[in-house]
Amino acid sequence: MKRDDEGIAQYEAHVGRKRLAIVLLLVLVALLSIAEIFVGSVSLTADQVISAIMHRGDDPFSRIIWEQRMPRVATAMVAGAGLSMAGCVMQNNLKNPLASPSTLGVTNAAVFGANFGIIILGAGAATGAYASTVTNPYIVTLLAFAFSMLTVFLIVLLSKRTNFSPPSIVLAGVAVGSIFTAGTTILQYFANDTALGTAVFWSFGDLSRVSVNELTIITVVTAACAVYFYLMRWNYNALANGDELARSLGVDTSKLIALGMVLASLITAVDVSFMGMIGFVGLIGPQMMRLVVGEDHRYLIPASMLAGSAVMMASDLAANIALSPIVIPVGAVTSLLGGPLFLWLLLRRRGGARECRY
Amino acid sequence: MSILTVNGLSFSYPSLDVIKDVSFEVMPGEVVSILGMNGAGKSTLLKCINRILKMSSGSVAVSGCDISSLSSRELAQKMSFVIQGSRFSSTSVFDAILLGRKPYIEWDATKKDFEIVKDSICRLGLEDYALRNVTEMSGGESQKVALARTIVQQTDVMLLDEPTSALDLKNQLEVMNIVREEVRRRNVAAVVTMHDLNLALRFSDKFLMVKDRRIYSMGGIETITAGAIKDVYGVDAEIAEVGGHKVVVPL
Repeated sequence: MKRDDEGIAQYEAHVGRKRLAIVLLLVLVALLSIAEIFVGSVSLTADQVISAIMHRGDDPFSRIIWEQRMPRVATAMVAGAGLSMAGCVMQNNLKNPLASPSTLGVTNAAVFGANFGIIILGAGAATGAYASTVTNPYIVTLLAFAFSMLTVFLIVLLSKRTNFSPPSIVLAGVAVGSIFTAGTTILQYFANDTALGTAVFWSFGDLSRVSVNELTIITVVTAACAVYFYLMRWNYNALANGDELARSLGVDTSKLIALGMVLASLITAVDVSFMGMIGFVGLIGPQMMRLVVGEDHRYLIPASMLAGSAVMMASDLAANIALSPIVIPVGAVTSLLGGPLFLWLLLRRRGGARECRY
Repeated sequence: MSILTVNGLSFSYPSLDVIKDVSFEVMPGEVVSILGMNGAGKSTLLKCINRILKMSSGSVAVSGCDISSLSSRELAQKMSFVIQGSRFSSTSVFDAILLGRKPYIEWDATKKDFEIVKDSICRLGLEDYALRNVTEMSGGESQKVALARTIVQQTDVMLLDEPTSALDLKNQLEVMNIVREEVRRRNVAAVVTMHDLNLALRFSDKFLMVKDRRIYSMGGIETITAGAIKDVYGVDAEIAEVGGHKVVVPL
């Protein structure tokens, strides 16, 4: 770096590359959403799509675009961003690269809550061979949410006793997660065919079942959390260097960590309860972006959101195209793509400059 | 007037007293080293002074302000802390130092913050590393980054927990020179825990010896005697003078 004013220009150029990465991600997300609009069981030409978007009418094409595809694209975008952002905050707050909604047992708890609602409270019914619907989605959602928050509360409580030591938190997550998985298995074992079908079908993560009202809820929650997380970006940067340093820089670490965990879990609970289980997005989105923009949350938070959107949309594209006209549940695709990618990240990390923190 | 006043500070875990009734004063322009055996409570003392740990009783004042009356942010503008074996997240050196401006940042870092960071980088000779990843630095370089971060925090009191423990001879001298220079330049104070007695003798104005959780002695270089070394460390030693510097030679 030069000693004169040019030194700062050099730094700004260095930061500019991170901004460029974010712009490129934006372009990628835009391209993916265009591709997503064209994908579905009915093939449409560019003219048909454009005219349907421009003139919302009662014709079938217009309805396909406005009532099916645009909500699905928006859901992929918002849910992907939300899950990835939640993973980003969880990883930093717990100083644990493996933290994410799925590894902390939050998703398992949400699944248990939903199964409880469907099987015990009878909030579900099967309609036909391929479709089963949840007759009372809000009970299912509420239960999924309640159980995920319970998990977060348990994990925060358990880890507080060990002063948030990273391994203990993940172990607590694994333990709590397996208890809920066992609970789900027992519920399903004693369920009747209809309820079982609905419960199992529910747990396949699926974007198309999200209604416009539900999409609104997901969007509001995600946007509100995004604003809070972005406001906290400097605090997260301080926290990334250790609790003691953060406190010496004037950060109230306990409050920051606890509130961040609650909000990250809220996003997860809302997403999981409306869409079912969608794994790995919260793990790989932020992990990939750490390699690209580093651990500066000024850029890591927006980059993780965009990467999450991109991963979710790409997975949804793959889910629609792979066995067309059959659509695979998107949750299966994210896990299928995410698992190997995450293994690769782990192996890379081992040989790389920075190792796991514990 | 003293820049740091510690009055009757005690700290204990439920079943264990760590520090008992420690009082001392530090004047502007002074480097004070805290000496004592491992486990004597030196690091704990620093953490209590900086409110990272909550003291059981006693009070601490910085530039006349009782720290219990300050918000976390206000405290961070008055007192900084260099943690033993600082750990860095994966960012550039510039960004790692910029974090020291955190207590002043409202919405985002400004040009003024960048200027202050750049000045400290130049002063510490880190220009060549400024945009490199801080996690790839050597021990000496990363300790300088930690110091630069403390310097841009522009506090009245800098607390340093064993800033030289993992460094080679050259870096030890450089780091302590930086600390002393900054203290003199801005007429502030530094409180440093150290294991290397000779380094402490060379760079400190005052010495605080800690034994059995209490202060054994506090004063100028005259308080470092063979008897004091024997009492605090249980080691026979001779105090000699080499090239104008007082040194401790264990026997």
